[in-house]
Amino acid sequence: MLPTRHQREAPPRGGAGRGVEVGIAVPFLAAPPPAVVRGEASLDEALRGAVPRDVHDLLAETFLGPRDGAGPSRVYVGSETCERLLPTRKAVRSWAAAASGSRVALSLVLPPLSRDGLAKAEEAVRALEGAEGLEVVAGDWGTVHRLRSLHPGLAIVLGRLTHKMLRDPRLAEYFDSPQAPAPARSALCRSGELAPGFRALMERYGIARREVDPFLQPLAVDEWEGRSEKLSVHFPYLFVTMGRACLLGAMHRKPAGKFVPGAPCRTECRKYAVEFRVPVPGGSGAEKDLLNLGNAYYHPVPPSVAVGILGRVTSSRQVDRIVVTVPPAATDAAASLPAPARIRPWPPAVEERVGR
Amino acid sequence: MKLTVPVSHPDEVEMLAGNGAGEFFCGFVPGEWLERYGGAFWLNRRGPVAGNLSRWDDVSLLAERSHAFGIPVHVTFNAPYYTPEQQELLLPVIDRLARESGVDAVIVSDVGFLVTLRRVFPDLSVHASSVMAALNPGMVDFLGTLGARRVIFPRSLGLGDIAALCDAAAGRLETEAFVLNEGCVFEEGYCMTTHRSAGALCVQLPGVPHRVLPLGGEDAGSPAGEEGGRARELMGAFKDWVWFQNGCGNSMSSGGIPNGPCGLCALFDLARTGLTSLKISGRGASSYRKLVSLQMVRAILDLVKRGASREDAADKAVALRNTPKFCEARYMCYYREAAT
Repeated sequence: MLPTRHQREAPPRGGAGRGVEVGIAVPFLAAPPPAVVRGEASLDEALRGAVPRDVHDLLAETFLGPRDGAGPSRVYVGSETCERLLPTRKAVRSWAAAASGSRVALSLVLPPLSRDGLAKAEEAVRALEGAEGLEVVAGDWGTVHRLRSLHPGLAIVLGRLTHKMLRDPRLAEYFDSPQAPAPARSALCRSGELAPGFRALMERYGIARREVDPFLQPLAVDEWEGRSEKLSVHFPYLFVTMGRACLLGAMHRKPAGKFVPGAPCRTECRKYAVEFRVPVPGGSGAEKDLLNLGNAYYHPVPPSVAVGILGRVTSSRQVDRIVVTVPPAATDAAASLPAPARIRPWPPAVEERVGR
Repeated sequence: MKLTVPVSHPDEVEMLAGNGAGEFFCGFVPGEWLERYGGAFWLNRRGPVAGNLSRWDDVSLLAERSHAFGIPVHVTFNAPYYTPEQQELLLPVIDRLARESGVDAVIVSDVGFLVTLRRVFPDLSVHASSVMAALNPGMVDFLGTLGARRVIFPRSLGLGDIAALCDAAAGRLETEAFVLNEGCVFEEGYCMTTHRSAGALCVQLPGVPHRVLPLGGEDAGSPAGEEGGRARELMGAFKDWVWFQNGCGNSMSSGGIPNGPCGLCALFDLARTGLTSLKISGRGASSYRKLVSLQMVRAILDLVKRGASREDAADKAVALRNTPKFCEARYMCYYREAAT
């Protein structure tokens, strides 16, 4: 059996002989589920229940044993793209309390931060000081720099938004096309992070973990294995782009006040998403789904891509964590625990396209 | 406060210098890059042909002519990242640009490449591109620590943030912000899409099938009633906004003024932030568009320098554009808080 962070038993993981941690990201949940706060459910139970059904199916055989107690051991709190979803000081304390009571470790996720956002993030990190297993996922190097200077011992993770590589779902599957020049194919399937300058930064700032996306193009082997830091892989959404002017956040604003970067909103992202179907160039009629969640756009990766990446995870020396993002409706369901039967992570139209 | 102006041919130098350009920036794609990567991996944020120089002689001539007017030349290497192999290829290119062509600075987006450039060429000025997304004072400190000469702020920053970050940079870093023409809907430093082959995703989005989905679980239906109306209105406004940001369909006013993203109304405030320079975008634009853009900014900035009030400067900017309905819509504005 496989040891997890808390030495609970988990199902065997083919060949690698070591643990893969599963973290659950709840970017749209402002506070722990009420049932958890009331003591009617543990946070790890709530997190397990919130994993989208199809993602759970995909992960179950390898990482999430449905019967033997293995499950998520880390919760990711906060949004990777929007500082309006940054948890308040009070909220982070309640998350820390819930996590501690459930033996779940806490990752505070920070988006690319503005001046005000950075100040609030510093406050949130201060409120979490001393929390067991705490790590902070940073979305920009300015935040890394500031947090490292304030908290020399803090575990800082580079968020996936800092992993500079193209992942345009309209084209990414062609990045490794034999028709492209070999150097271009190579360049589109790796980042610049193995270059000496970037390595020097990783060392200078003591970064021991970086997050990566479930890329559509096949990443070069050294992009996975040629690093000193550990890797966390996200599922089921590929990050595509974001804006500081939010589409849904403009919903209730007057026309002249819509799409202003950093403008106030009613967190419409907790209530709505926008689904786009974007044509693939070439006139084949093929389309790609693009899901607008909050101020960001994601592509739900098809099962074939997910299965390929999970195959890589099972044999990787560097990948030791999977991060499953739970969309808003699923967190609503988690908030009303215990009622797992009500969980329906995505609207039917989206669900049909993701992993079905 | 200087005006940083795009240039894509040595013949544009005299015209732009004579109209108040204070700095030039350009792109350069050497033959060896094209041979290896073709058009599949862009060396900078423009395609390999449009807006880029491709001959060493042209870069040298451009720099020589610019220097004759006392104007420095910055060359942009602002792809979001370069692989180790690409960095090895670019280092001798940049060395030659600085030593032989007389280029004054390079603009980069890859933070690791910035570190390497500072180590290999300690005397070369390196500017941090807006694609590096310097949104907070921590990033300004970070870039100062790495030895960047200048930070170029992303377009999404408001006037208050620009002023605060200029304060944070004071005495350590030069600062630059956008004033005209560049219209990315997303945060460019975090946009992982490519314009190659597929075009700009942001421009494409309003025209593709889409729907607003409620996320209320099993019982949720489509947004109905008032919310349904708001959702429809939202997507209509989104289409308008993207159109305005995309240069109003790359159109011009009846008076020959290029439409599109604009910060003219904010020049009164921008002049008081401590910015080193203001950037006019558009390396790929026509010489005419470059010239008229420069003249517009110069005219309002001169007015501010002569003591015009905030309101007078903004009114003059709107009058100069002569597209009052576009200005009223606010969707062309970089700094909407300053719009009249």
